[in-house]
Amino acid sequence: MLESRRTRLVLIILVVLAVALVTIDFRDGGNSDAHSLGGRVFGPVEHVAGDVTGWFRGGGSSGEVSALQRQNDQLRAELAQAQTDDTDAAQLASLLHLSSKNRWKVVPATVIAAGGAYSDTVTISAGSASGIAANETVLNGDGLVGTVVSVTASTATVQLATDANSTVGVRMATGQIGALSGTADSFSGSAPLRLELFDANTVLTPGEEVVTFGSVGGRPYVPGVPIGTVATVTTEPGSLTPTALVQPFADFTGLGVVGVVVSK
Amino acid sequence: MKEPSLAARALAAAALPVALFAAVVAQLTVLNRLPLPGGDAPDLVLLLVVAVAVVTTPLTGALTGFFGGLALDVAPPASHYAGEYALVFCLTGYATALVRTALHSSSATGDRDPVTTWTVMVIGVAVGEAGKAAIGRLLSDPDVTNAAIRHVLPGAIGYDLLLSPLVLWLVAKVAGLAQPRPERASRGDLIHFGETASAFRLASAGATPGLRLAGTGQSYFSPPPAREPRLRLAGTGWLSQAAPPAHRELRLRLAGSGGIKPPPSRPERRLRFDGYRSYGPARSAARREVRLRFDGNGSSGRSRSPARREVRLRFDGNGSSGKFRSPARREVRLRFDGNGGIAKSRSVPRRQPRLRLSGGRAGSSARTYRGFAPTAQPLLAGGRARKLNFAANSGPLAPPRRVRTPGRNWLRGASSVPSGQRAGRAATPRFSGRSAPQWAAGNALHNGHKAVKARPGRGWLRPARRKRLNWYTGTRSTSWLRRSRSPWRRRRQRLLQLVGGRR
Repeated sequence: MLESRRTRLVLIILVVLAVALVTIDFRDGGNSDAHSLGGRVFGPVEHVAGDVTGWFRGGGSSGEVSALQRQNDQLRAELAQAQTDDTDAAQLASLLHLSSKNRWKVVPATVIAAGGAYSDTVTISAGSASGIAANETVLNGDGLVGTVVSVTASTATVQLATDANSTVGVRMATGQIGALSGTADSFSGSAPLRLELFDANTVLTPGEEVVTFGSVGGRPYVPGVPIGTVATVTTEPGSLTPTALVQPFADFTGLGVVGVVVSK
Repeated sequence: MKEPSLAARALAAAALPVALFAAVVAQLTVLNRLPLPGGDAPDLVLLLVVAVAVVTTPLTGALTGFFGGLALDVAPPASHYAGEYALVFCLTGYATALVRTALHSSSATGDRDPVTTWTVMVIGVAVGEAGKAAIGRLLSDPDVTNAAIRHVLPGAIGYDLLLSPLVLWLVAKVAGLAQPRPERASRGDLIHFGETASAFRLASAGATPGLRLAGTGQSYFSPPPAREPRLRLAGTGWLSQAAPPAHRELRLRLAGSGGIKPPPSRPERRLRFDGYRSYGPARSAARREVRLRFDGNGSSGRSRSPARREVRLRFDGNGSSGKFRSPARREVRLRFDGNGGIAKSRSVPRRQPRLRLSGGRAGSSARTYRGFAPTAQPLLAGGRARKLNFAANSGPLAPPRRVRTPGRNWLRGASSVPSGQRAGRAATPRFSGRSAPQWAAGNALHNGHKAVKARPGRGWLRPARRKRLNWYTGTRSTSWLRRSRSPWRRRRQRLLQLVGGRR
């Protein structure tokens, strides 16, 4: 009986503690100190474990393949920037206060951990020690991956573009701008991104390419990174804005080496 | 009880945090990234939490769940609020352990059935997965949509189901290092003893409330050291001898009144018992030979064992003497008088059988029965009180008054087990009502044909002008229901007592 009473007391304490943690984290918008503490504790361990699993996957941080992948990432970033400059450099420069070329550097990293079933977040093997900060664009050789949401010394947490919390400003090849958001059911559909254009008169056609529009200072998204193509147009008759589902270039379920665009 | 070594205990104690940490890391770095069909992954942390909960106690379950969930909450790729999974896993672990404890303590033998454990674990895991989804919905996590839940939940539970036997096996293996290993009787023995006990109780129709057979009830987890004969004579003059389960087997034969036939697996011992003037040899082939003779008037009962032990019982209704002797270790002499009985007990230092005898005018410290039914209460070694109600020669017997039966809640036998051994298991003997013998108690021994139906409280010699007491607890009864003479009330009360209910 005494034991049971003590158990109940401990249970009540634990529940109150958990509710308090949730409340604090809710108030801080999911960025309370608990997460940074957890990152400090688990980050190095995950780093090591990620190296081990990466070695088994064959796509570790060493080897020719990964070197080529890094080079590919770098080239992709440069290409995106070049294309941006070529198309409407002046317009973007005035809009985004872009100053010069080659302003970005890509820090390569490998994915070492992934979030649970409900969240589309991954942990990568580079952190603030490599110059990575929060709200920086993450891409790989195929296209946009996501953005950095939190950083520890050796790891960084990336919110994928398919996450329901993610919204990316995009630009079509025709110049129309819109917003691309995750649908939280990336696992089920083949087109896990939902596109919504701001111009009501635009007609979307499947196959159109979607690239990032860019943010001020390149954070959280640098301009010109390809994201995907329009898969199905879901515009309802009479709706204000044209909508579509977008098939991303990047394979979000098999991420290996990614690059983080850091400001120089 | 075999206590685990210090190293084993330290290993088991250190294994839990280490395993929890490893499970969190493996979950995030390996399992979540496995390209499993359906896009789901088993939740190793939840599995570990629930497995630990069903193997250990609710306290451990709640603590493990809290810290495991908290680790999942704050480990880097987590995007939900810190504390969500801690809350869910904590409650899940506690509830699962509670359910498992309740199930196993209510089972017949208190045995831990692996299938039940596993079933509880699977249900707990499913509840945990549902709780993860529920708290996400509750906190309006944009990732946790109805479509996502519909897709994730069945797959996750399915993968958990696949992984659960392995996790449970591992956890049980490690947890087994830290737990004392009871040198317990095999299940078959216990069932057998329980059946015998229940048969006695049924047959005696309440006349022998203090009857307990060895091996059931309190001594369930730690059967006594090997050589300790127990002799119990129920109130109607039957001798039942049950032995530590591993070595001895009981065979009872009650002459003139049918009998119990225990499973014929071990034909080692026989007790034959005749009511009066009969001669019942009880013989065991290998070691022991017990002979009992029981006479109503001045007869002598002899019991002899050739190799080790020699027990002699002499029993007379009037001024007779009972001898109880074992050459090597034990020497007990009984003298039995119907009126003014003398109890003598002598023993070598190791074991101390005590015999209390009381007649109508017993001057010793023994408790007395009113009436001329002598009672012997040998207290055998080890502080385990055994009750011996001996009323063979006297026929009707008053119910014991002011005698607290040693294990007065024999159904809840675990209460006499030290609490350390009893974590989560209550040792209740199996009480199965089958194979109830057809003979009746009490005066049936006189002549088996003219069996008087023994009905407690009716036709029994009862003390005058004294309030009747509860047979089981020996406490004074104040309720009219208890004192009622209606047999059905009494049976109902007895039933309630058996199932542990309080009136």
